[in-house]
Amino acid sequence: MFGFSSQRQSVTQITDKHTIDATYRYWRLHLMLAMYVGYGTFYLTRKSLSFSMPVMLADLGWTPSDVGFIATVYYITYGTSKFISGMIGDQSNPSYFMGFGLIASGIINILFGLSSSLMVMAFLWMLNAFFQSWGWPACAKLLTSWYSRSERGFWWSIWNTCINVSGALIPILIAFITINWGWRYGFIVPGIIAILMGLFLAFRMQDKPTTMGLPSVGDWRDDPLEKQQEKEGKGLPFRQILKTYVLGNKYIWLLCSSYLLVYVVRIAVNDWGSLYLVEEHQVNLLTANTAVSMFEVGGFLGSLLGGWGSDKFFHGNRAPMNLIFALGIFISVAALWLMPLNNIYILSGCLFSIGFFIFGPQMMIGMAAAECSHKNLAGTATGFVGWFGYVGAALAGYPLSIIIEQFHWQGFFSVITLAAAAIGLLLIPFLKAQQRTSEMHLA
Amino acid sequence: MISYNENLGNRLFISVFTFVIYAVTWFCLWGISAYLVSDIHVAGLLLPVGLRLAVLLIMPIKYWWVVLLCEICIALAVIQSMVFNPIDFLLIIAPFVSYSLIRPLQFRWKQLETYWQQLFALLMIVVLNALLQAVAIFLLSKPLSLSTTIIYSCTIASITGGIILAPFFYLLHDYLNQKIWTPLSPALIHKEVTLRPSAFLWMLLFFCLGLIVELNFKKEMASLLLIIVLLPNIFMAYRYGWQGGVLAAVMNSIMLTMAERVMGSFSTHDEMQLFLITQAVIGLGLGIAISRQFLLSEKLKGANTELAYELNVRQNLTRQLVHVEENIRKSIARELHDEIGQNITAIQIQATLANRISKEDKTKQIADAINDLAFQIHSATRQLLTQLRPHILDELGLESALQQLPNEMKFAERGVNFSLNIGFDADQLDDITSVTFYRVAQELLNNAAKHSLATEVNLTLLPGILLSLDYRDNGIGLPANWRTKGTGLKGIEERANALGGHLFVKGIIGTRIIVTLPTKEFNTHQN
Repeated sequence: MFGFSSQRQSVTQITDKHTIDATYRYWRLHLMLAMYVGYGTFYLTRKSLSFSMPVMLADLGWTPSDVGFIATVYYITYGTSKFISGMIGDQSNPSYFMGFGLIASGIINILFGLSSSLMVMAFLWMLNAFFQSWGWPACAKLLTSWYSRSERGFWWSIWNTCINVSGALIPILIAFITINWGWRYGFIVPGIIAILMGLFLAFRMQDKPTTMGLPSVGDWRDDPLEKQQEKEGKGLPFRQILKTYVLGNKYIWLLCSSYLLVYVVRIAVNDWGSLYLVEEHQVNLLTANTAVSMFEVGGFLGSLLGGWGSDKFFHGNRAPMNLIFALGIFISVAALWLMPLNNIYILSGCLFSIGFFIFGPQMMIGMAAAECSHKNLAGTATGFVGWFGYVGAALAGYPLSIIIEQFHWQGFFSVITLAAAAIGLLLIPFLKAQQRTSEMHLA
Repeated sequence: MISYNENLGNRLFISVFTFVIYAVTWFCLWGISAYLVSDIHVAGLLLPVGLRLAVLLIMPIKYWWVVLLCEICIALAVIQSMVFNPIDFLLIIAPFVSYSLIRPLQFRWKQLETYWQQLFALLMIVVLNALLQAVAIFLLSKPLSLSTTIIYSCTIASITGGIILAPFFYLLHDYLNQKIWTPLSPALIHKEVTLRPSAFLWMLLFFCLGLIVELNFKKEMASLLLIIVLLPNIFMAYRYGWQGGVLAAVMNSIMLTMAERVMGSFSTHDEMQLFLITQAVIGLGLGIAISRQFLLSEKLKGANTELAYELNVRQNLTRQLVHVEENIRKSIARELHDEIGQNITAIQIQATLANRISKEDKTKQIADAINDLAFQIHSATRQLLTQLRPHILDELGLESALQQLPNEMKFAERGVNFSLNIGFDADQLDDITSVTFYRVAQELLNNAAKHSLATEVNLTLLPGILLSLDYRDNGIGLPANWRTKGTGLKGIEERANALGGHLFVKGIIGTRIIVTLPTKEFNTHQN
């Protein structure tokens, strides 16, 4: 279907060791840079709405439920199309796929900034969600085909921090633009940046190493685990691979369910955190928002240390590190719940801790999904798991608001504490499967 | 958790990683503790103590500075954000108390061989740490103008935090670090999802039960409550050893905290902490005891298996000896029969010829003497042959051979009635078994003829997994000291044992002897 983005056939093999090393080194660095900036820009065109929202409410006379409506439409579309575009993305060239997605997203942002009707805007934002979902699979594909198993935790966690960095920079940028030129420019400027960025990406990115005539990364790095994964199920038709390694893979389903819960906790704290602080701890809105932004800072550290740590301490196994972080989510959520002090620094510390622990699994579950499915299906597998994440995000919106209304904050925290505990439990089968000796050592 | 790579980057990463994760965990635990203590300034001496003790014990000493630095930084930050109270000084002092306690003990602790010993030592260290801390507070109470009641609540807090969390972190470390991880790969789909839900289901059941009881029957059945709350600890410790005890202690603490949050079950925080200590100690103690017993019984089982193996080896050896002996006997018998027998016959013929041809009496006499001597050698050889190998057995088979025995013993002349029953096809037996049965029967009937004064002798062969030969007579019975006197029966017993069979002596009237021998299939199966 996407003829323009389909994969090129392999060119002639490069055999010179020196050329191979040089090409690999050059592209690994440049691809990381491109992905980092590219995905950060995706975030810019995605989060533009959230941060222009307060001004839009005043300008267009919207109510919060209108924004909630757009957000819900967005989450549902994004989650679903993430899976679909994962499947398409795995079969096409990431440079065009990601670049085109970004250009389309930029155009839609500009159109969004020029329109004023709720229905048109909701439709446009849905369309935006569709193109937004083109960024992730391309990155997942590049991260699994250019970096090998024993070092991927490090590279992936570096890349993952672009979410936190842009999450911290975007509010400032958008706030600056909106205050100076009005909310419409809050969409038009990110849109223009996205189009330029998309054009850049289309030329600065590569497909898999093998299409450049390079040996696969497993061979280049001589990483036995990577080679094993490259060998698994080689030469099967796409439909068959999808059925065996993603949809029929019980471990992927386990990852899906724990990812769903991770997102329930993440979005719950992110979206309701400031309200909780204002209502229960009597801090003002601005301070509360600052405290919530500590969540992102914690996330930055958490995903970096978690991913890298799983490479260093557990030889690229994500499950043990995930378990540690899952336990951490539990105690950090409990700490926020039980904290009797109203001190803003302490409360920011709590949010920092939750962010630290939640972004570890947020990244590593996606990574584990890519690693326990087929090599050529990294995007599909992570997209599939991500879809469940967005179901969790949707659950943390409207359903959780009912719980808050009915059972107050006690109910809210009971639910997310339980969810946090369940994340750890769902990872236990993974630990079991990865243990060579599955029996418990008594005595 | 730590791999000891010496290069600087690695060490730096490990230090940063440890610092951040320790700080965040410490802070969260402090936040939870703040809810569990009456005075928030004591919170740092509750759950964070468990974390610190476990980490200090497990962590290599070269990284201790990270933990201490981290602890001081975070304690300072926490103190900064609260209204200052002299108790806060304890947050700075406490890490050094633990440090000076564990520094000399860590090496010895790591030398301990079994899990339960390490866990027990860990609990001891928790208590020691709390006491040492109490001494420190006592000494500092004057300069910091602290009230002495704070000693009590600090000590209780430290013991609670240590006993609940230190074993848990130890368990976690052991679980994650002592295992060999097979890497996550697509090959995983070929592996079934293995869930051992029993532990979780039991936990959940007890958890719900405890919570319901806690919430509903508080006032009416206060004494019953205690038992129900302790149930999961006892059960988990019984079922899963020390790991179960540790898990149950933590889960139960969470449950009690939740109940406290909802109901306000305890009148003071100290009372609650004491209760937490009690339930944890019961679970852990039981878990340690069970694990120890398990270890001992494992050792016993190991020794038993070894003994059984040795015994088996010995039996095999004797069985082989018997086989070898029989084979040698058989081959010697064959040699004797074929070589010597024929030659003697030839000598006899030659002697007879010499006798006939010779004219001289002297020569005739010599020929006769040669003939007689040859005859003597012949009969001696025959006797030897029968002893070496019952020739009749090879010619006629076991059944007929046995039927010939009474004639040899001259039973009819002595007025002895003999009956023989064979319950299986005796000719299907393997060589060793039939020879053994034949010899046993021969020995028994010989005894009967010579010593028993019996008038009725009965011999029965019965089939089964163990073939058995059942001998009865109505004679005077065996002498009480048959085992030490004479070698006949004892020889039979030894031979039967060597082949994996037995000899039983019964009989109230007369004698009854049962000899069992395994069949060949049974023998090969056992080997």
